[in-house]
Amino acid sequence: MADGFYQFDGVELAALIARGETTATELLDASLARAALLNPILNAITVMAEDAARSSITAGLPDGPMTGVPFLLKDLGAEAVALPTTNGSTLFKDKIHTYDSEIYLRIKAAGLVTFGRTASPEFGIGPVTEASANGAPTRNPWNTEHTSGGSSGGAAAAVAAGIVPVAHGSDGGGSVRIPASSCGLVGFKPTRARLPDGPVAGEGWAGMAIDGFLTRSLRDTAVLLDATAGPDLGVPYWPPPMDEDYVTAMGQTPRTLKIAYLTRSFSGDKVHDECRRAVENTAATLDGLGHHVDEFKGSIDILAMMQAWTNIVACGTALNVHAKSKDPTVYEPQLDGVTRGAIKLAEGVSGADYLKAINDVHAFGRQMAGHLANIDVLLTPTLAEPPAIVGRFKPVNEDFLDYRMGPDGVFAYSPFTAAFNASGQPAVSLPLHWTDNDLPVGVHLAASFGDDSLLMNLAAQLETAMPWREKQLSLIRKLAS
Amino acid sequence: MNYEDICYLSATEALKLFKRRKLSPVELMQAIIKRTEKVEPAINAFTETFFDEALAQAKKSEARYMKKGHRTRRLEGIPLAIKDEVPVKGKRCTSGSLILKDNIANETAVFAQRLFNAGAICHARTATPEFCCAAVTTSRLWGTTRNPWNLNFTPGGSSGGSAASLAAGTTTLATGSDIGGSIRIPASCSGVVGFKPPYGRVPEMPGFNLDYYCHEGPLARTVADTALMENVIAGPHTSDIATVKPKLRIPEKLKSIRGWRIGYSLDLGFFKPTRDVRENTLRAVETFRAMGCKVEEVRVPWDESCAKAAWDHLSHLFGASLGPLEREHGDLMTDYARAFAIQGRKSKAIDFVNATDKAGEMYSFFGPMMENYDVFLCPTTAKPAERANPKFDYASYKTDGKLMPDSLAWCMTFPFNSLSRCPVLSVPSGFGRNGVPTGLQIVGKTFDDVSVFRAAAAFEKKSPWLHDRKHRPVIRTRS
Repeated sequence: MADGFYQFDGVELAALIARGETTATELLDASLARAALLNPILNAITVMAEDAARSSITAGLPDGPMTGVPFLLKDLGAEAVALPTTNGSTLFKDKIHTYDSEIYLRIKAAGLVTFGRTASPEFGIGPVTEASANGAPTRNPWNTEHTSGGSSGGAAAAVAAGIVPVAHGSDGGGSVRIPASSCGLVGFKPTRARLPDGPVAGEGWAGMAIDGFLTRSLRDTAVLLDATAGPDLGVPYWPPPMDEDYVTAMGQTPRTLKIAYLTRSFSGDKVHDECRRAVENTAATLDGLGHHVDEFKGSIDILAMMQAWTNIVACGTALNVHAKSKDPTVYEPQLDGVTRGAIKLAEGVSGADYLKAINDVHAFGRQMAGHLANIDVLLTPTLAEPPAIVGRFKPVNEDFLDYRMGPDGVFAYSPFTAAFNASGQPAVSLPLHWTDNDLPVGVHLAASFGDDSLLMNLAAQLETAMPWREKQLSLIRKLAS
Repeated sequence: MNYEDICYLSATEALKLFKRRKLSPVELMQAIIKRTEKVEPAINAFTETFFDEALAQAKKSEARYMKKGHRTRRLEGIPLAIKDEVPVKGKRCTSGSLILKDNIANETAVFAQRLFNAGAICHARTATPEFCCAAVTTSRLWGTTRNPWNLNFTPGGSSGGSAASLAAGTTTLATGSDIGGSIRIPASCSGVVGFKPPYGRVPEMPGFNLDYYCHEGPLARTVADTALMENVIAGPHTSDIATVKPKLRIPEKLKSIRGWRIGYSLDLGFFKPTRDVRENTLRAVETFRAMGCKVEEVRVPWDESCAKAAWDHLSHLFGASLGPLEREHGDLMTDYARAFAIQGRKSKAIDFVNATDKAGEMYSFFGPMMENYDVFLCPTTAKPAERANPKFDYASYKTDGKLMPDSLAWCMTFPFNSLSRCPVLSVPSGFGRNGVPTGLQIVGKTFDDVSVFRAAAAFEKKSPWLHDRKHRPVIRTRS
């Protein structure tokens, strides 16, 4: 029976426990066994906290929507007393927290059993998870020569490989959606400020970053977002309240939507044929579902936004490092090249530059709101290519501007995702396409600011019309043998 | 039980609760009114509502239940939505046409009167396409009616408002009429039950009563409700020479179908059902097998000439009946009704005769084949549903040389209007990938209504629909 657990999603596992057909301990043992088997290949988990998980079960789990389901937190932020972090950095190795973050408190209240943390690049910057502090790159379970994405790359590898059904992630430039796309999973970035950042921080990366989850089924995402969404005490900003929760939105009667799709980047560059095909197939399906589907006609100016994003993230990285040490002779030898580059860039960003960057990000949000006034949903690929070969984005480039915005930089590889961190819109990557070589290619959908429920409703229609479960299971079964 | 649960009570359950005084007809009507106010803006199933009148009647029904020893009628206090093509004396009756927008009926259809006499309360009239001549419910007069399971799609037609309101929980029972599938198609698209009785079972308005394609019949959410309503409306009447004697009653308790022989076809020889329709039909076949029936696939030797025959028949009588209206008021008509009327005016007697021949040829296969089986199964529609607002293209039929017009290509119903003495029930078989329900036709031998109901009741028990909150459509109420 233990083998069978890997095929179930979180909702199903919680139901099995509720019916007495298994126990939280049995599921934890199964997850640990599978981690022991697969983690040496994937390097998905960097912090193990088995004892903490066992004692949480012994103490009695709260009655939540996912009670007893094994879970992994990302090794970045999400402070939890029981789970030290490294943030993908030797500088932060085994950092012990003195308090639980609000997001973790809500994860605990959902009944999840957290037994470790998943690999992140250093401070979460980058579309791959290859921090030197992690010892080895995190690899894609679909093909270990390829990256599982980043920055929530460990989480995606663990979920796709069936170590856990669901895992925590965070997304400041695509860091939930890029790994979801790379590993054939669902990655939903809610509207800005939908999830809590407390009790200490008000927002990450000037509001661009938000937590999220990597899941195989859409309903797991919906259940986890319902369990964690909502303002926390003293939150500086609130998103527009939702008309209904995510789970309800999934099952709601669809209405006719205006959907615009793009098969080139916002700046007109071609994307990989497989990514174009993924969008075209999805557009055809959406048309068959009765929606009005058209090619996107407008033009979106992203240059200022990308520059602003890069400056803000550089400053955020400097902030993280300076929290530990302000002495370059101490921190520089311990950091990856990209991180050193980010700090160097941040040193040249004045206070006025920083406020200009925020203005540019907000102006971009207004630009997107203008486009979304005429359409309901924007459809693009998640990435411009199938997942890259491990090593291509190795974090050694000390020119942070070039690493992000250069011709072979991250924005060329992921030209869509960060736009929605800047605008704060809800966006989701869905596993709707695989290449002939069985590499996952995600399809990206974004709705208006605050309209998470419409996006969830449309995603549910696509899950029914283009089901991906069997494809995910084929990998899990293959890895089991 | 919240008010939405009350809205989705079957008539059979509601009547039981009325009798035990656990629920009052007033409470049921109030719940339905509340639900209507909530979901009608999205669905547009009703053309008119009579809430004050209906509440007043519900109060009288309530009094009847409260009075000790008082006999209550068979549908006492049950909300009923009546299709806007059925004349009810003193009420507006438009058939979805601008030409008839102010038409007040001066008589009441016999079957509607029977429903009133049984205590049913009409709280609303339901939308139809213009003159009920399409399988999609949209008209210039009333706009577009939408499918409660997916607003992008039609709830079917022509009894689309009736089926949509049942699925949306804004009525308990509804009337339909079926001249090419107009009861079964909306039942299928909306995930409810619709019965096309055999020709002559339910009285028709004179004139159309002699077109054997034409039937009045019930729509409901459960098989038992459908039988309950059919038992009220069926039976011979002095005004309709076609009605058959004696009256047939569907028994309340239906026996098991273990050991039955059942034939099925996925395509009736010439339709092209989509994958989801095929899969859902095959799942239904397996359900019947699991109930101890011997189910065999039957190769049906029909082809698209059957569609041409049905089309010619419909054009010759139904289409031609609209011809004079088109001449006088064509500018007020929808494109599809107008094209159909013109088609009818051009129809030749020989086409009609050939159509009758074809119907005979079809039965020369179907009749003997059915000697081997208790009932016959096939999909109701070849895809879950047409879009809510498709491009109608009836006029292209003659010019592009196709035998089957596109508007009929998804309606696997009309062959049983050609074979009109066969009773046919459509029951839900599942959902398409677009979330729209699919339907299964259960076809009986001529005038063997009871077998059809027995099979449907057994199937419903094994494979229920709309039976709990999780299996109802969730209609977004704010935009």
